Amino acid sequence: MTSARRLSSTHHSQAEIGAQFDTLDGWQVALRFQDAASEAEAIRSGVGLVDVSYIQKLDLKADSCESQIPDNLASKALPLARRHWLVTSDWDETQRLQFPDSAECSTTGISITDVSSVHAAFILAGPQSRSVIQKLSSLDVSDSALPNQHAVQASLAQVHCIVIRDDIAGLTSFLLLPGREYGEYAWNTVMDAGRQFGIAPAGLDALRLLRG
Amino acid sequence: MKTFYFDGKPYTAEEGDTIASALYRAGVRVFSRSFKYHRPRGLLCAAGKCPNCLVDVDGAANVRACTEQVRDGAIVTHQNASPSLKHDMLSVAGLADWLMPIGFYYKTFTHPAAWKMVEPLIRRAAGIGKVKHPVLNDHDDVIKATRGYRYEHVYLHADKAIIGGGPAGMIEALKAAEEGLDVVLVDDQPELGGNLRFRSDVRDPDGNLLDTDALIEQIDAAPNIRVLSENSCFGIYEGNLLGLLHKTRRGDEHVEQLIKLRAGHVTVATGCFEIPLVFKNNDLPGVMLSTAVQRLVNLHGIKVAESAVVVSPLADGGEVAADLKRAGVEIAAVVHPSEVVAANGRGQVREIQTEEETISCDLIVVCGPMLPEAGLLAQGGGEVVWDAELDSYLPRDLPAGLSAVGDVTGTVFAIQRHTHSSDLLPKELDSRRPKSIVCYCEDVTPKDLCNGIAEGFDHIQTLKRYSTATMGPCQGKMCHLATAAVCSKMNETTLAETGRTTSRPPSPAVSLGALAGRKLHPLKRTPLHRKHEEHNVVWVELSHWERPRYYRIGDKSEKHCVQQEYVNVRERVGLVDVSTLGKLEVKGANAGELLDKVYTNKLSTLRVGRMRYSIICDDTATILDDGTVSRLADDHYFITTTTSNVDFVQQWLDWWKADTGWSVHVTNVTGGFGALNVAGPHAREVLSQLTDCDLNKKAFPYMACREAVVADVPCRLLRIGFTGETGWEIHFPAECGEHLWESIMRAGESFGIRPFGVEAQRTLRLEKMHVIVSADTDATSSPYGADLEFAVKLDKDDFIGKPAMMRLNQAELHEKLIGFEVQSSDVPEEGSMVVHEGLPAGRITSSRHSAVKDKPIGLAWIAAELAQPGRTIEIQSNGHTLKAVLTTEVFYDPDGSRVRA
Repeated sequence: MTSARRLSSTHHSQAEIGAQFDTLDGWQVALRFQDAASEAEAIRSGVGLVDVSYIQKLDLKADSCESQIPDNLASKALPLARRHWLVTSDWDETQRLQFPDSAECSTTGISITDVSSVHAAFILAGPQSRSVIQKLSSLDVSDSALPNQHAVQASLAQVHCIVIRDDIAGLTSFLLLPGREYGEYAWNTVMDAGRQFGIAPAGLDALRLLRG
Repeated sequence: MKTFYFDGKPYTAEEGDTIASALYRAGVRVFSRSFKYHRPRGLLCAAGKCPNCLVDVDGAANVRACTEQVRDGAIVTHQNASPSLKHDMLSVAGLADWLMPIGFYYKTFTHPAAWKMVEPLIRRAAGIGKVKHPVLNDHDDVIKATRGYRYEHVYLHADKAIIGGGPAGMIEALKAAEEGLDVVLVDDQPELGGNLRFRSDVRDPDGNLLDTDALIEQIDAAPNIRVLSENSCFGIYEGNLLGLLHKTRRGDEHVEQLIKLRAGHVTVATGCFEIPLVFKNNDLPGVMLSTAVQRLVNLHGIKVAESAVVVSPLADGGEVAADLKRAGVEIAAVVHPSEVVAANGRGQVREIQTEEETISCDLIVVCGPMLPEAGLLAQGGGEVVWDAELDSYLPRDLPAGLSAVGDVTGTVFAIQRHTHSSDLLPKELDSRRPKSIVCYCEDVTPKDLCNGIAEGFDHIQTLKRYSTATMGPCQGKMCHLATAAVCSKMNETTLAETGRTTSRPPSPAVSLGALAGRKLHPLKRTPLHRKHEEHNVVWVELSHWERPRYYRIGDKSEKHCVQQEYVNVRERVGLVDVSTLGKLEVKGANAGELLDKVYTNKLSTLRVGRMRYSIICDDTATILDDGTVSRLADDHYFITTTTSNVDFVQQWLDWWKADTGWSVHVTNVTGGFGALNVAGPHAREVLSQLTDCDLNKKAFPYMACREAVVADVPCRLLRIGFTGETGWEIHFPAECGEHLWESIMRAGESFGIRPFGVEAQRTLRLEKMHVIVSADTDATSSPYGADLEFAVKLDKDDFIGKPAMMRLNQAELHEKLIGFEVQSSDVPEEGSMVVHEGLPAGRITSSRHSAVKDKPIGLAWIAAELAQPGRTIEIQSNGHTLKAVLTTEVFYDPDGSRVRA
């Protein structure tokens, strides 16, 4: 794989507030800011924000609802619209998802585009995560409107954002996917909206502690 | 114990005190001055309905002191009185009332000159609170001016929203919660309970005593009830969207939250409220509504007066008289509402005058008529009509999704006696002094209303607009019935026939800051944002992107810096961030067909590894967008669009694909690819150090595209020349941007590589006469006029705009886009007018100084008959007339040898 340094849209913002990075598949990923245990506790009792922009994201579009999604992606494909799905890899999984090339796809009426770079990805986790979203979006994020492992598209802080409910070990959690060009703006705006709930910037280690 | 300041004097407040209750306890009786006559005003409703206690709190104007909880250190000041509340110079207005009859604006200032003269004086005198004007010079000033205030929007959803946390609202909430609904209970008070909070003997329609504590306990225990206390509902909008306003404090900040609550069902349980009676001096401080007295006595433990007269239809003065006695207040008399003539006193009640006698007192307690708080129901589509039998307005015919419970439905009026509406008005309506007030907000008297009706404004709606009654801060709560009563009496109609004015949101008032919410300014950043900052970038905001305009060199001028960047590209090599270009992936077996249909060029025949410049037109042949289309595989195209148009192009492609049955999919990948254009005579030497891809002229000719690894990064290379020099547009995964930038800058160091910005790029492209869509074209530009017909292939099958283009191809053009060279050194402003024989003949769309020509150059739309190369035109710019010669020859490298090198 490449030796090129890969940076998320918020890399510098995170570095400025003391992020300690590790390299995962070329990506500079924040492991922690101060200590993972207190970040995990902040998430467990309130809310935290973790940049996981390195996760893989695949955009699937099909000619018809009957088009066959490749087996390895089918279970992970969340519908975004009619004949349109999104697949995201798990934040603790460095193995890249394999998918057929465009020639192979076009015979099945499906096109798959790797949009990993197109979207930033932030995990907003904790019991107060819903309150933070309610300050930025008219999206209904209640359990009934957005159950676990469901995705919707919404306007978050006035920019387009895919929101996936992705609970971590039973803890209410959302994966926010704004466009990468709005990544730094979205990070700062979510942090600002979460200030009243004591939002904590957190790293991958805190997520791992939460998952146990 | 909290301390706050009113007009500079410190006051202390007890737990649960509002500003008004704390001030009242400390002996303050006058809280404000009225709008027009500057009459002293004291507490009237103590429930946030009337306008009598509007004050400025910490710089926020028009705050109701009677509902605002005291905060430690709050700075409270009076409004609308100068120099002080006690001595207000403008109170002379009360003596000059004969100068200001109803509608005096319209009658007096009929001549524009007269209005112009008095307008500044009236503007200074009118109005209530003062907005503290922020100085909007720069960002810092705005922050300073609004410091301490934070405005936010919050969005909530619920199966059922209940407005009003009184007994009916609480019972309804518990009922809904039992059904398993997700319930939001909204209440404007700090605690639930409604009138149970200040009344001891409240019973349900069946006569059972209601127990507040037990109800609140059950509400707290219900997991699916969310209670929003201190939230006033100011409006109901389409689709059961409720507007709530919540004021709170977070550390040093005042926070105003505007909550947009969307509910499946809305139940209004707002109860009823008391209104004042109309008699002489009925607005004198010391005349209070009975519910206000009960609040002060029972909620705040205040002995409200020494000696009170209760105006009530009940012989013993009813509930409030008992409460007053318990608080140690002497009841001087109980007077029937029909007996009251006037309140007397200077600035404070001293006595009450009845038909028979005059009784000394320092408080007149008015048990006025009760009315349902039905404004929300009317806004929500219900009807509110007068019910003569129950002697009240009552809601009916509520639409689906909206319901009402409790006192607001009128159930209370069947069981509880209150002052009859026939006792609301005084016997004589047209007496002038002492004044009796109908509308407390706008100082409208019964005589004013009578005059208005006599002048022909005899419908309640026109009377409202002419007199301004019901149009003030209370939005008619205090005065609507009295206004309607005057109207019906004068017209000799019933109240039901008189009707009502329209209930409109917002009521109560909402600050503009809260409506605006948090100021958000989303800006897009390219993956190279921080790299530009390292090079002293000067930003320009284009289509929501922050783009480098140029890079500052020391303290040199912009002109100098841009010139240096320009020269570097022409003579050495430059690097420009073009990440903002729109980028679309078009995939599928029928991708070529879709592009053939939408673009004017033929793209299905494009070979893999090649690209074409293409334009999109609508069916009138107007240019909508342009860009390059590269074919990466048989069924995979990569499109670039103009920066601002990518969303449109994606929608346009999806729109034209609909119902074709074609297998093709469009994905927007703009943010996913960063893009750099390496351009200049040394571009190949720089790039070849970083890639194994053969960049040789033959292997990688002009308008070819390749997928290749550059500096360990998988990239798409497009051989293109917007600048007119040899160059490659490199598209790369955004996260690798900084790595790639550093690699290219390092590789180019020995060749003198420098970054260049939008300004230099615009000059470089103008010398090549490259058109920028939407800068050089507008909503009337076709490819024929814009000299882009090379990109139109009329020999292909039908495509969008083809019939119009076939026509245009034959027809005479009205206008043409053509180049010009100015014959002097002045650069005409873009947008300047082209003049021929004193008449407009065109407009300049682009202009820059050209180093190659050593004179200003540009592009202009010119009447077709004049658009001849060699012809001299005149341009009017900045008051000067400049002479310019038209040309169709590209200013720089006309044969394109450099770009193809």
